[in-house]
Amino acid sequence: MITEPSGAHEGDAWDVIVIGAGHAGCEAALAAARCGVSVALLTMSETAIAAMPCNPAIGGPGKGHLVREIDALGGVMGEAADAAAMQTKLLNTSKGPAVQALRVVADKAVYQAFVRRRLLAARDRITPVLGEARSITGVPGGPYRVGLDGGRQLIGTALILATGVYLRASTVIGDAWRQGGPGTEAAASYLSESLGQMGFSLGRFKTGTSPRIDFASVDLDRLVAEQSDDEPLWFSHKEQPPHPASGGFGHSCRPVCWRTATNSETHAIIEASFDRSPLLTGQIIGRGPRHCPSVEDKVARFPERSSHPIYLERESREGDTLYVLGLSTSLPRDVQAAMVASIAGLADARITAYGYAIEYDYVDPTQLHATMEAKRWLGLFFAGQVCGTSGYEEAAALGLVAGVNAARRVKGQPEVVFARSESYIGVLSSDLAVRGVSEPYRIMTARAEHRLHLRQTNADLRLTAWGRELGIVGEERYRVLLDRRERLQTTRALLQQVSVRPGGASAGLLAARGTVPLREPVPAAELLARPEIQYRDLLAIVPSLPRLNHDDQHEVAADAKYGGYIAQQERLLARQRRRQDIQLRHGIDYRAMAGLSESGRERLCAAQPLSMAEAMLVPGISAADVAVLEAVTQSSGQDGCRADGGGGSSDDGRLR
Amino acid sequence: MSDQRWDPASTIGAVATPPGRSGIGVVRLSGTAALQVAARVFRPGDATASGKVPPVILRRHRAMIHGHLVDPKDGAAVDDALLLVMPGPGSYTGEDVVEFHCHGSPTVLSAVLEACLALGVRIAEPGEFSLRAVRNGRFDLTQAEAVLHLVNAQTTAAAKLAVAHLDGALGRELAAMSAKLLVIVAPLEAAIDFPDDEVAVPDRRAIAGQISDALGEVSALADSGRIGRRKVEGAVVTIAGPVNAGKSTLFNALLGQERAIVTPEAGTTRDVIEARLEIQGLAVTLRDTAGLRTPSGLAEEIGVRLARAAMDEADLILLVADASQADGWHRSSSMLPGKSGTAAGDVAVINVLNKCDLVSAASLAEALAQGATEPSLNPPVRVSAMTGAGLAMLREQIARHLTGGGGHDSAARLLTTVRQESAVRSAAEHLAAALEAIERDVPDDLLLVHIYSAMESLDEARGAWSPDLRLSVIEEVFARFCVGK
Repeated sequence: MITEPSGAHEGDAWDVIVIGAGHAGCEAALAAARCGVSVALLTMSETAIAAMPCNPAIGGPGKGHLVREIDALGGVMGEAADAAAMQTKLLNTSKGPAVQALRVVADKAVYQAFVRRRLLAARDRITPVLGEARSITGVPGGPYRVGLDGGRQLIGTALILATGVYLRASTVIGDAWRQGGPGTEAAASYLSESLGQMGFSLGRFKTGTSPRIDFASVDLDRLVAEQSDDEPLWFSHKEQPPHPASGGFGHSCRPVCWRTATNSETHAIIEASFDRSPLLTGQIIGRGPRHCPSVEDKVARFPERSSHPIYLERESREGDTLYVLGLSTSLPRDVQAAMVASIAGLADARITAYGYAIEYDYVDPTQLHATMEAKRWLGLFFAGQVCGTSGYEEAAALGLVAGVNAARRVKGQPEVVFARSESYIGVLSSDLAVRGVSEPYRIMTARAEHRLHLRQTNADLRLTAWGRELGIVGEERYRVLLDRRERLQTTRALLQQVSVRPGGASAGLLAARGTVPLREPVPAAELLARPEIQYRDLLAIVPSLPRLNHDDQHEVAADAKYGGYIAQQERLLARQRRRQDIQLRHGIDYRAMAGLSESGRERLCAAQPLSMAEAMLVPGISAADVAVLEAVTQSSGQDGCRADGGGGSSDDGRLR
Repeated sequence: MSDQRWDPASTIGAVATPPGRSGIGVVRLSGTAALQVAARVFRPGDATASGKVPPVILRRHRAMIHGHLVDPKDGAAVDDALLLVMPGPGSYTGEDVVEFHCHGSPTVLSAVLEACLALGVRIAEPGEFSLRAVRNGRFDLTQAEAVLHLVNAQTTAAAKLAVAHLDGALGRELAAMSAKLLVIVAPLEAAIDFPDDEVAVPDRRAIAGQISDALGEVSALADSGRIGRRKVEGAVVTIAGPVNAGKSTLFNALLGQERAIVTPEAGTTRDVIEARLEIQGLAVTLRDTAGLRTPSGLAEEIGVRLARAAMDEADLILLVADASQADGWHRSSSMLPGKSGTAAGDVAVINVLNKCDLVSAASLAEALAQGATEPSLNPPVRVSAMTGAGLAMLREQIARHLTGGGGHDSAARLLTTVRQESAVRSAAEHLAAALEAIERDVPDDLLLVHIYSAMESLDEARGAWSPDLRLSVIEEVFARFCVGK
């Protein structure tokens, strides 16, 4: 599918150039294309497109929420993950309405094929280009010229860097260091130089991965198979057809994931090799993610534990490799072999690829706005690991933010900022741009102040209509939203109107669920409010209620059970929103703003927050500074702050 | 902002000592220009020297330098003085601070200040030095409040409390309470965000226990506000009881002077008479009231009404009975606020059995036995206001009641302002709501809302900044649990 740029593209000029075709790059290219601009998608190899170099899973707490939001805004990740799902699991079902999260084990090959098809379907707008970006030149505001290996040049009005871990990457296994990224790709070392010359400050992070083993060499009898949920669930909000995975779901399904664990022998092997670990001996200087510790790190930090869980996941139904989740490592090959062999079920396992650590350059994200645009290089955007994140879902979400904003920059439209109170995408992008990172950033539900509002089951209700206004959500998707809204409204009204009488079928149900019998007729909603009663229970005794899919049941039940809490949160949110949605223009001269503390001035000048909500996150800012800023913006109205117009953007539609 | 009054960019100055003549007087400056201004108005050495100390030199030293204050216009000496230099950020305000220690003549002090104003210094608003200290992170809010309390302290107890809070003791206590809640939150959050990682989450009973312990501490702290404020602001003690029980005699005896008119005639006192005194370091406003009986005449009727109002307003009532009257004990107990219907409330009461010098030990024992049948009554303090017997014990009892039984020896656990109290009270309410949520079996994500709200209220009490709360939770999760793949 790769097109070589040729004479047909004289000058090779595009509206938007995306460097890198991982999850960030693909989502960025697709989002920009949906906005109607032309895109060149540059990749060093065709096999890297939408590849999953780490474990074959998508979703989980926070991450699954992001996937739902990407889908609500017309992105591809949710549909691709649905198509590739080999196992689905709803996590945190007992921990509350807002933290339930879907995770799937995804067939890597199917996933990549799905995204490629989607790119291909957009070929009138997206042109894939094979090559390595070697240099970036240009002026703030664009256009930007990307020099490729072999001397070719691409010109873009806007440019999105989604280069993942490839900037000056080096991979490490034990004492073996190699320049280059995962797999066999060469390292994009030249780009780091270009970015340095442009004045970007770069940091160094580390990440890593686990060994892969041959499926046929594993003793499945000694492992515990992980079952898929009985009820298949979907990321995409689109009308959900029967699940494509053959064999269906639940216990009848062929397992793709097994559970085992490290043991004291494994730990002894690792401890004996501490002196050969590049991580523990300090040869690796990049800071690694605490949410993804290597096994040598876990053994070193928690010596009291004699076992850590290990999951074996098939990378593809057709392929023959298993991903060993929980065994991320950069220990030498012989140590990896010994520790794998020590694990139950893996005595004869054949390692097909060794685990490795990778060190890479990242761009300090506080040099970016929450739109992912560089503060001092307008028209230049970043997304994914290159600006300090980790994870497929985080990358894809930022790709969408960058893609939309790059297209809007090209079209002269106002930028789009995602509010923390409205989406995990907003939490992610403002955390990066305003707070910065000290390790590869992973989304967590604990980061969201408005967690109760940000449910995976209301992502479309929160975002799809807005996406429609922005022009990134198509007619079909929008129609699905309207239908759903109506369905929920009708059901809620029915639950209030229909009353359930004591005795008869209801008495049997209540007794079976172990809850007290009714004394008088009550609205069905009141029964649903009881912790023991689920929506599907009501179907048996209130035949007029519609059959609903999982998400709708969840929303309706959450309403009935925790409506008071949620309403209280929404009220609080509305109050805070009035406060936090105050927009701050580009180029406010904080140095001239009376009342700010000295450190507050410096930090606000550097951070250039776009809204009060962002200003409140700026590290080191005090409550007093925020109060001053509020007083100034209120007393002077929207236009009172001194602005030099440097951003050249208007405030319209900036916030959500 | 055209209003430059609170502009923190300007250098502020004020006479720091009280108005009027005194041995020494201090003019204080704070801000970026403080050192430059000092270099212009202060000349080191004796009157004949002409050198100046360049600001760059001053910046390097915390120093006290002898020299002369001069009028920058003509170089004429204004006063022989000491210059105290405290460069920021280690100073009180966090900015460059200088103090001129002059002779305490109002004329000299205003001349020095005028000279500084002429060089661009602005007169400080009341409290502005402390405001800058808070703004620049030198203080939390409880410390700033302590500065005010220390300056206004009228008793040793108030001063001791203020000094302890100035050191940040209360702020640390509030932070420690918040940290205890963090310990409850961390495993719940770790389990939510890393559901495969076998995080050991305490069961709901254990969590309820932890929250209930925290609630106990937070509530006790909220309750301490009443006592803390008494230490800072003083307390009102009202002497009440039937006519002719010797209330005014007791009033005079506690005061140590003949302030109230005393006659053998029942119903002598009509007005509420008030006096200030110090009892064991506490500022006490003592009130003597009209005896409570069915009034005979308009003046006495008003007096009785005033007496009941004074009982309502009191932090403590001394309910006086006449030991020489057979039914004295009973008569006074019927006048307790709760029983008389004039006040609901839980005002503390000390029963005082007066005129003990007039009765035999036998009849005293009888009176006490009679009192013991009234379960609502505390054992009385036996005194003779006339001879002074038992007064020391009474003073001790008063102090003990006002300071909550002496359990509050730790200043860190005493709130001193209504602002602190309402924030801590709201933290307690959120924790109570959390316990109720556990009772109703709500899931973790909803329960956590209450705990976070409580933590935010505790932060608010010390003026800390809550947006970083979630970051501290995440730090705790990674520090304590082996999570992630």
